[in-house]
Amino acid sequence: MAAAAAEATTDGGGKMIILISADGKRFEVTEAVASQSQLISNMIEDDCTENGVRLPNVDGDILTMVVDYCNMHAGDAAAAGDTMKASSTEEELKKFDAELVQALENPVLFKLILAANFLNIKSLLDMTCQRVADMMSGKTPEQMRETFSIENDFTPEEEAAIRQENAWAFDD
Amino acid sequence: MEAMDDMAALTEDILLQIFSRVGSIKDLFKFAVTCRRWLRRFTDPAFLRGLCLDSGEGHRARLLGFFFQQTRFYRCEKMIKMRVTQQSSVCPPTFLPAPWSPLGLTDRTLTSFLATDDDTFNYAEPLAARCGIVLMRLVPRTALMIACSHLLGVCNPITGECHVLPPLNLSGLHRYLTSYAIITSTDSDLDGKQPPSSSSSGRSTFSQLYLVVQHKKDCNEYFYSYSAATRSWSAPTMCVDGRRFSLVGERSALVHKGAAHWLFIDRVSSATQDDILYKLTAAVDTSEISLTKLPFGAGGSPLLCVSGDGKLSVACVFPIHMRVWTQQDGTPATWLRTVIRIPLAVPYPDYSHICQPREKWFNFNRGSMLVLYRSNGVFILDLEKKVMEKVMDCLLPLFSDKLNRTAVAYEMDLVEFFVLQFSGLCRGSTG
Repeated sequence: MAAAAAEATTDGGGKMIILISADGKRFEVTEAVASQSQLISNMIEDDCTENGVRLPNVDGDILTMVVDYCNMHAGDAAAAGDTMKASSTEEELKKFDAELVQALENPVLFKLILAANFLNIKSLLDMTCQRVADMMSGKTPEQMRETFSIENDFTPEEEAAIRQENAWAFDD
Repeated sequence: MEAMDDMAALTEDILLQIFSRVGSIKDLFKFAVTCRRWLRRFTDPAFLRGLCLDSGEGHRARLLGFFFQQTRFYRCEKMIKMRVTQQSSVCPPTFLPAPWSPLGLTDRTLTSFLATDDDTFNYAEPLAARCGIVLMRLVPRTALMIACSHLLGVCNPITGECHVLPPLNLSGLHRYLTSYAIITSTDSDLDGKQPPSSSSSGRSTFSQLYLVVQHKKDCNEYFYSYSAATRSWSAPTMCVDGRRFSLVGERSALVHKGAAHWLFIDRVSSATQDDILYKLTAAVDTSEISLTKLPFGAGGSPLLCVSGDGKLSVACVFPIHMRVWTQQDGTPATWLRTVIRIPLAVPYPDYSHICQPREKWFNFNRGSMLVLYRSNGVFILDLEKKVMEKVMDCLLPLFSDKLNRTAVAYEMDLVEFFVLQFSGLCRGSTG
């Protein structure tokens, strides 16, 4: 009977799922949007999403981004019928994705990666991990330390030894 | 108390996902030396194995791609003239990365070795590669040098290590390069397991090059060794009677447990009876050379490989099956026969009856062989599991080549590379 009562909240075609962030913010999304998370998709399949899904390790501001991302990307399947629309959507999506990751400060980017990993949203995880990998490309160790706030705990002698023994890695 | 950086919050699993996307060994290396904590991660074999897992488990992770030369050079008058007059830049070998390879086509270090043109040479053809080191035949810019010397270069495109060897002079006689062996600093270690603990850095660097060269004067095969430390060639030693024996299998030696091995076939007895194989062995520490008759009939196309449990083997490849002889412990050594049905029967493509593409087998990692299979792709045969796995799509430009251009498989164990590269540093930074 309880299951039947939950079904009753169905709004038109798509059932709504409520996601609750660690700090108590609630997000109401359609099943199609939420299903992009493999974690939620499995919960829907097992019919245990009633009363909302509490995500104890995802903050509200991060979950906002995740929900935005899922809302954007839930569109591609729906628009697939109309080729003209689909292609323009694809372009928009690319732009949206690029802007999403480019603008982020590192701590936020890492939190987004953790959320994508926990929620198991492969495309978001791929994109965010790739962003970090790109940030490492072509940098010197000093630039990497700066980019990722890494404290250099080598002694000057050790640092010199590293450079001397591995000159190949340092000449650009 | 460890300094915690932003990335410290990420789990092991996520870090591996990020690092496997970096696409340049050099960039990973530079990241690894930012602090002690990251250095420790990049010297942990379990972590490194995770990093290579993206490329699949087991043998294929070792394959980074193929080197080949797109333009052919013969030592004929017309081509010599062309090379000498050509003022354009060096023709470097082309690199075709495996799909999972951390070495992209764009990796600068791959071509930088040949990017600085000087007067020495203007063409390089890959001959062999081993553990990240590529041996190349270079074509000098002067006709006299082309005609009467062998100019060779050795380079590690990842570390940028490179040597142009002093030309091996022919003193007016034509000689042919029969075979070669790239020897690294870790090869003199007989059990092949532990990096030498005495040196400050245990990384594997080029240390010697062995050549077997046929002298035209007497047709005999002569052994030459080059030492990177002294930058000089040894005096030649006659090692094989060239009128009786011919090289079979790969030109590039199988280097195993402190020695380089090649296979030769006795042409005289083959004419009347079963193929009789001989193994030419050069010991790395002593440079002692020996030719040993192998106590079994060969057949098929024989080549050397190493079994899964690290024993020297001879694989005789037939069209549908393979006979593998594995050397057992004890003196005199006995050889155990096993048979493998080649697990994949791919029909010959029928576009060419004149030059039918054949499969080309290479010794690969311990317990496996690499094969360019009838223009159908690159496969790795696991000798223990007896399964053949497709690892790359067809190398059509390599395979359909009427000129029989050599494709050189570029392989390296990345886990070993990082561990050896940092082994000197780690000892110093554990405090």
